[in-house]
Amino acid sequence: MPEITEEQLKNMTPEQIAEMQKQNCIFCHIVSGKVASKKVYEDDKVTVILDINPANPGHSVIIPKEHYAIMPQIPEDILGHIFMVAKGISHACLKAFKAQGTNIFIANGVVAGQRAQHFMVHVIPRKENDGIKIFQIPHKDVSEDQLAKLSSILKAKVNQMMGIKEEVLDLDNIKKPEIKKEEEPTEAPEEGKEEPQEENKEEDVKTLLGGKEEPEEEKVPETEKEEEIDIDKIAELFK
Amino acid sequence: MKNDCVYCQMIADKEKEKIYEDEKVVVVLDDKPAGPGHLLVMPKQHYPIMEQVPDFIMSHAFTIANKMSIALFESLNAQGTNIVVNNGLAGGQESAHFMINVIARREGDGMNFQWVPRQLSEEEMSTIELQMKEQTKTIGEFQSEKAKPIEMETKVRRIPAGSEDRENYLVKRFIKIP
Ligand SMILES: [Zn+2]
Ligand SMILES: [Zn+2]
Repeated sequence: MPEITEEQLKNMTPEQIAEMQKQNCIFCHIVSGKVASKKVYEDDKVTVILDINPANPGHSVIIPKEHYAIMPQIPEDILGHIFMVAKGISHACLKAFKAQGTNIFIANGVVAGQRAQHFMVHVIPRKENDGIKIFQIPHKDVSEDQLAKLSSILKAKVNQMMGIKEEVLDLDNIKKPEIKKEEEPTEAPEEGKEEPQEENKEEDVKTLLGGKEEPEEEKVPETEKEEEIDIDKIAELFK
Repeated sequence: MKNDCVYCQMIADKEKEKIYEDEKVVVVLDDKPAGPGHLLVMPKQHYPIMEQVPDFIMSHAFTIANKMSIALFESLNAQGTNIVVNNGLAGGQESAHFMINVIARREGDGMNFQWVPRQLSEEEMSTIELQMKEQTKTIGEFQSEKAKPIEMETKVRRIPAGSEDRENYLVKRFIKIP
């Protein structure tokens, strides 16, 4: 990789920058076959390989063939395809290893654990008592007030996003966390915009919500029995 | 709708605040969240595990999960997001309604989704590769949504040559007329 000056970088087209990123991306090299890997599935849009640092045997990663650093860059048809494949890979894990469950895991951003500059989706086969605890999502008690506040902020944002679809995929906005919107013709959502107060939120995590149902309690009635298939057994474990 | 499923009830409950809703999915805030900004993306229909979710619902639900992730970045100053599915009891699933967690992440938030890598020999990895390849052969014919879907109990999808697995039983249940 030849040195590139800032001046040169400025003069590069987005296509050239993308090309440069690809040349430096090990996952692009895996897709092209320049770097060896254990491929378990491939089609025109994705390559699926075994993770070399697996959480469990069979841990696979789905890699889009195109280079996308972050999830919001991925066109919807590719994104949709990735997760249909993810379901298939999960099913394959259940069958290949007699797994009793799986995890789908995605890290967006370094803070969330993203290591590579190439978007990927992890599919991890799970067995009872396999010792993996990290995917157990923690639950905290938060006040109704805080939930209501989060709800109004998020809802305003989502309404705005879904209303003006083009704005959503503006990558410059996604990369910087600050909400610095130039005057937007939208009225309502921007008006009541509150500054998120992270400190308060973290400290606010005390009040117990009374009377809320515990999801753990719930039961599933017998699903229609067809043939005895691992999927049905797994689905019925909730009883 | 499963009457005894709290999430089905929540979805049907007009009073329940939804962050987003369309004809296929609903997004709500987890009321016992991992941290500030924890969203649940759920199909409106009741599917216990991922393998039972039709392909076109999978793709749609994750497209919405991506949008929710963007919303967390933009409106709650998240520095990262995790998207996690706990599929099956062994996968840590807590309720029998399939859902996608979208979780805002911030420096020092105390969450950790980093696994300890297992040491597997080259030979073990090669065996695993072959086992997986055997089972991924049938991936590829995805169920797509049709404009006016009609449920068919008996119609069977064309199965790729060489796969006599019973796995396609699901298709029998959910396939829509082309
Ligand atoms: Zn790449
Ligand atoms: Zn349900």
